[in-house]
Amino acid sequence: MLLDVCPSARSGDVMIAQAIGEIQEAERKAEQRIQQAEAEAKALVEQAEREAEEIVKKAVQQAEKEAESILKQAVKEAEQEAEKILAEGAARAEEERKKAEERVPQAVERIISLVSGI
Amino acid sequence: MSVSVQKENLSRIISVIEEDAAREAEKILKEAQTKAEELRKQAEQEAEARRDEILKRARREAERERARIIAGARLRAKKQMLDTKEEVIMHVFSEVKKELEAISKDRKKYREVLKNLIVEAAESIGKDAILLVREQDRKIFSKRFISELEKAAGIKFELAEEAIGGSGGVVLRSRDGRTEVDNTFETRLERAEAELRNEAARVLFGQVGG
Repeated sequence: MLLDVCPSARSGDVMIAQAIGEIQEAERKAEQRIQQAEAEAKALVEQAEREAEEIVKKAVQQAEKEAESILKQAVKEAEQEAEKILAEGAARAEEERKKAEERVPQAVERIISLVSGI
Repeated sequence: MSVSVQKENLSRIISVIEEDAAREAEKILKEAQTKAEELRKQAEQEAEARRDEILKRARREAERERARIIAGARLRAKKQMLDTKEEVIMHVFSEVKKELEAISKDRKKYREVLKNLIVEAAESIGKDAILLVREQDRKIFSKRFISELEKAAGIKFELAEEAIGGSGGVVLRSRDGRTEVDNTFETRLERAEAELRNEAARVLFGQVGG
């Protein structure tokens, strides 16, 4: 065998074996580093997905609250306006009644004339 | 190749492996960061769009609700006005009934009214007729009055044994019983109710159909 007969050849092989070992170790570490980076990347994306979901959820909740408030405010304002309309309507009706009551004798006379012919 | 050169080469190979791995890891993380950033941006855009849609819908609903409340109030105000007008018209009709009753008790005036009603009814009958009157009015229909009526109407009248009720007026029936004109106050009021209501509304409110 060459190693048995040539010590220098033996020493060279050991060095090669050592070198291969070191390269393999470096490759293993590199692979580990990449895997770690992939895991970190996956966690990063998952975290971003959760955050994205949360952003949309919060925005929807906030908007729904605002929507409720918009509706409440609109109803409140409309009810105030409705009260005003009713109050004005009641005043107009009362005014119309007063004016019309003054003309009741005239209307009675006209109808009597139509019914009786006098 | 010397040992030191070999070691140097090995060291360089290992460095290349490490640097490649570092670059690859960095690339993976950078891509993930970009993707994460993109996800956040998309989420913000989606959140904005959802928010806009919800608020837009809310504003539409608020406008509908507002319109419904206002329309309801306007309708109630209009109904109140119509109710008021109706009350005054009813008041007029109630006064008319009282006035007609008063007329039926005023012999002179009532005679004139009866004459008008009979002449008008006679124009519709167009031939000799039977007069149906209230029991208490029978005394008004003297021969002289009937003769006056016949002259005015141009037809002959006969006072019926049968009496009518109500607050006044007459019923004329042709002798053959085929034609009848009911000119009692109640029927005249009822028959011309719509027209009279319009007339009352015109006088009271200056409009038709009140």
